[in-house]
Amino acid sequence: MTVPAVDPDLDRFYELILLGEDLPLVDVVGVARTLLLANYDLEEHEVAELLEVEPGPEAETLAGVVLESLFGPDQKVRGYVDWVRASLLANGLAFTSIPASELGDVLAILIATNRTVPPAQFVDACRAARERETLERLV
Amino acid sequence: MTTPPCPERTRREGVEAAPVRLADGRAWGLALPSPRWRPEVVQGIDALGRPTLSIQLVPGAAYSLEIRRHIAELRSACDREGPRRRYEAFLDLASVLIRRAHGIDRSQAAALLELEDEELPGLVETVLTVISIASPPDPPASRKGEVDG
Repeated sequence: MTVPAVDPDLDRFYELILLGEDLPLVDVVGVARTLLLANYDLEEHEVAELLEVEPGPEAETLAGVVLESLFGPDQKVRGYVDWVRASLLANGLAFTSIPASELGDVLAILIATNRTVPPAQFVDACRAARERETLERLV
Repeated sequence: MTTPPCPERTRREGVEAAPVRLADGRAWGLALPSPRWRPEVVQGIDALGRPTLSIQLVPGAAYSLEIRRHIAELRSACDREGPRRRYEAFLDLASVLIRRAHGIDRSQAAALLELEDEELPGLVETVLTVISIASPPDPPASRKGEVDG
């Protein structure tokens, strides 16, 4: 699935996280090496210099960055564009050129046919507005 | 007006350091090399005779890449440059060693390094001793993991 190929690492990390176990540093460094070599033309000794870490906070920081590369940010704020992009990607329309004037109709059909979630369930601003409205009703 | 930094309050936990007296007359720390894991690629052959690569973490004691670059710059300046550039490279290294051991900023470190002429040789000797330390602390055992490609 992934390019560069890190599927087995994704699986292993996902399982370890679910089980609440620590990620082995050697695996984290291995994935970091794969990702670095996919982006940069580096010699092995240069990779080793860049990935050499001190146990503790430095190693944890490296693990955090590697996990973010694999799974995306922990606390991503999702906006309207993220919703449109995710909706189109989920329906195989990401590489289709859709005029802005027709985008609303496409998204309306995707919602009506249960092929995407309404923005209120996805876009953080919509969710916040709905929560505020609920609170105001309670008060 | 800001109060001058205090060596005890700014000391970073877990960073080994060698004591040195700086411009404020107090004992500060110059960071020593710390335990670090360095990745090494190990080539092997699997049960079917296919080549494999695995990553092995080799323990050792060293400075971070940033500090090692400052040490290399000082060596290079000593080999090829004049006194002014050598002095700058030395101060840069001393500053980064202090900031590794203490949570202070660059300007605070620079102020601490404004020594009288007669105090400078003592600082030079301490810095050179610190970066020459070869005996690493006891490292943990090495670890190994398989990788693709």
